Amino acid sequence: MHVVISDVDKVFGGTRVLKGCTLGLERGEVVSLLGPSGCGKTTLLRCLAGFLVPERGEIRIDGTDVTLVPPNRRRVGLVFQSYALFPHLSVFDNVAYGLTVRRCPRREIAERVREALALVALEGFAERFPAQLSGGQQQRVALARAFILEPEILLLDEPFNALDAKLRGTMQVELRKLVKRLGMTSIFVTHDQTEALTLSDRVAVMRDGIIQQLDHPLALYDTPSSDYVAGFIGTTNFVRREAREGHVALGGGLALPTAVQGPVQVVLRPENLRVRAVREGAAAPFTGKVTFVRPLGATVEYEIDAGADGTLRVVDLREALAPTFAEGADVAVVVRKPEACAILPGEPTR
Amino acid sequence: MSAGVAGVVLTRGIGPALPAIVYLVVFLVLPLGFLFSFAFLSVERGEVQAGSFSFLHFRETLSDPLFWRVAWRSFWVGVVATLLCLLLGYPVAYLYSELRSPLARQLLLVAVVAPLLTSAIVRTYAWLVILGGRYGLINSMLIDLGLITRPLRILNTDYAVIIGMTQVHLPFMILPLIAALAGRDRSLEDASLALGASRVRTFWRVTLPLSIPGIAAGSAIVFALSYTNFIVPQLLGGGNYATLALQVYEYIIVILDWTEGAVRATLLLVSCFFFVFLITWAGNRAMRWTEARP
Amino acid sequence: MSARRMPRSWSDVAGGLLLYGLAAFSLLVLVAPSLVVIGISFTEKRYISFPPEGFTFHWYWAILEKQQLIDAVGVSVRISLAVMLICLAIGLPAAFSLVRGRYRGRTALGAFVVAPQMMPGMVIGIAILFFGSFFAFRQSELMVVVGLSVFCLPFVVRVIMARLAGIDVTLEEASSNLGADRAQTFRRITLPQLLPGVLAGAAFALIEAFDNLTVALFTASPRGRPLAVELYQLVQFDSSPIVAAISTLEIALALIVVLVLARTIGLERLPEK
Repeated sequence: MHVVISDVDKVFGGTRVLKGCTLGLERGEVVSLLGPSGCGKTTLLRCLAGFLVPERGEIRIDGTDVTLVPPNRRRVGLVFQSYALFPHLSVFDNVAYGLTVRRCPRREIAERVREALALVALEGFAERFPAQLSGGQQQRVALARAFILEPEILLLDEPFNALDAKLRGTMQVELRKLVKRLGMTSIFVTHDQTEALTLSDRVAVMRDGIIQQLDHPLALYDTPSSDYVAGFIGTTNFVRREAREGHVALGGGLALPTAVQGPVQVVLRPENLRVRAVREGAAAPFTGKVTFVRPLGATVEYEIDAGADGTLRVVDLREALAPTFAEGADVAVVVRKPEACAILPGEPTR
Repeated sequence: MSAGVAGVVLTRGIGPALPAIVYLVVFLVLPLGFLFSFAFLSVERGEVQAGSFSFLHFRETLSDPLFWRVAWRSFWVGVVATLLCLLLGYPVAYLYSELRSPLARQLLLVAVVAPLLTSAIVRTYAWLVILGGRYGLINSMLIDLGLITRPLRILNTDYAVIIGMTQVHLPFMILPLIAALAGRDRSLEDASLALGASRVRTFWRVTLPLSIPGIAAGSAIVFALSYTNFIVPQLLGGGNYATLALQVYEYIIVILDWTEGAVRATLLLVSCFFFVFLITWAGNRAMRWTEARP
Repeated sequence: MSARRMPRSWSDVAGGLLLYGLAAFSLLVLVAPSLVVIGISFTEKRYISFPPEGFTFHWYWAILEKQQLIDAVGVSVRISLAVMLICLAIGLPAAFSLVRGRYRGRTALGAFVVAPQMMPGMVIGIAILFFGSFFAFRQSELMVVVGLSVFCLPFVVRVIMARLAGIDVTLEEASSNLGADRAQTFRRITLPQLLPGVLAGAAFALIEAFDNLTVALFTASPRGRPLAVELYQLVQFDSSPIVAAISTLEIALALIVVLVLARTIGLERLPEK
């Protein structure tokens, strides 16, 4: 492991903001810390950068304990949410800053800054001041300023927050490519799941100072470890059932095999469901009334009032020219791939 | 800059603030204590008389009808100067906020700020020239125009003092008003217009109320400065003109009666703070919508 | 194409005229006295009158012949430099502690340090005069410096505090993250950001200490009067246009300072303080 965070606790004014955070990153791996605001992700980032000292636990980079190393002695690059570009310094001087304070020879600085600016496609902007750049350009300067020092790990705190929605999408892809090309171990902090899924090799879902699950994006989606993760990533229907003798009976004769006993929640992703007309003799796990139809074209989304199981959301693939069910229609809902349904033991925790 | 300096300056403790605090305690708080205590003690031949503590001096001053006449004049001269500053200052600040060209804004600021950088004497002196006797600017102009035959007596009257006070303190009113007006949210005025209000009505109902903090700040400063200014009354009011502040100066520097000077200085300071507090309180009260819900 | 305009109601037009008319009038009131003084300073008459007659530099030469005026300028320069240095030396660290400090009572202390700006100069002058009488500390250049530094310190601290509070702390964190130690961060990031505030504070102390009369009148010794006090005497007892000549020089100096301020800090920032 290149970077290891083990059992880190951080307390602010009597509140434990981080509760035993543990996380390991391979060299060159890109990981996102995903969670709502106040979940402790920025605090963890600041511990990594050295601005905060955790009460407990340790942070190791390449096997060396850096928990108590001051920020200016760590080789940790940080791209701030606000970019924190020095307004009184030109783009060149901003990018050169880390090298200047390390008293690098002038010639080397000029050469390396030129390379760094080329990497972020800002060759012609060296003499500009931050206020004279667009948001996207500022972000690239902040990035160049961080990676020019070849840090062991690159931290990015909500790097796309200050950008408009259109630019955000492009920059996410660009950034992912750049970080991968540089081969830099990176941690993104974000509250936006699309951003996390776009950027990272693995995503750590955080809640209340605890890392709930660390996994590949699709694994998070397919096999969430808790109803919180299942609900946070994508849209989900939860259906509560009782597991007995190795099975969970969904209804209409459909039973899913499981090892657990007692109350469970079955995770039914909307696209794993299908709406059908009610037919005599054909049993279905759910029946109900269509309460809302969203005809999107390639897909049609339904909300169906399924009685005791509450509202079910279904994303139906639509064949060309096929009609939709109308609001108020009585329909049956079936499961496409029963084996793809995650089964979470216990009562809801959300 | 050495690491030592930076180290001291970057400390998160109280340490770096101590020199300033000690300085203010020794050279401001303590001296103010001396000033107040002088109002209660008798001094003879430069020696404070032991055991002479009494309210006698205050009682004598406060029961003197002449004192109240002078105090009343100080007060209303301050009030009139403040109101005139508001009347003259607000349009300038508003004009500034409406100006688009940076050059015009700069020029306006130069006109406002430059007088601040010259001494009080220079600014008051100009009025001596303008208002002064037969050869003053106003009188010679009016006589030349044939509007009057004998020179008006303006110098050495309340008018001269009020004119001088207003002009000398005008920049102190304009600057807070500019701060309040230049950064205002124009969409509120657009909203008012869109809701059918005229420009004049929008000004009275939206722009003016939202600039109350600037009005209160400027009024408090201008009143305090006018109320305690003794140079303008001294130069423009003439030999027999008296305000509280001018009397303080005369008792201490001319008559050398430090006790009476201290009594009046104390009364001046306390009443000045009271009026400033009143203005600030009124401003806050008028801005009640900014308060958090109880 | 010619610009088209919406018709305006007569009350809007009248309101606008009144507003801008008043603005023009008060700008005239602000500026005219200075112009009058400048005009008078070149008059050939022996007493102040308007309009000036003829044109002469006589009154400027007359300044040079008044030794006590020349001396007074020297006194004022010494005083203002000393006041500025004292205010910066104790004001700058205080501002840092009052903005960045992490201790109880910080806000209250800040209020205490800034509060004296509402204190009339006269009261400060008298208080220090009385205080000095107990310690054989007499009216002198030093007493003026003490009084004026007390008078100016709150302004200097407030201007620097305002500037400091506006500095984004993440800039310093960024600097530290990029490998700079505290001294490097202070010198390369904090100080350049702070400089306009420090300059404004220094300029204020310098000008106020040079021009001040209210404090100096009570604390200056009759033998070493600063320029403002000397002028005060002159205005009362000398009706020759020599005061106009001195005033003109002061106005010129003020304009230079304004231009320097405009260049370095930007005048637009002044109203914020």
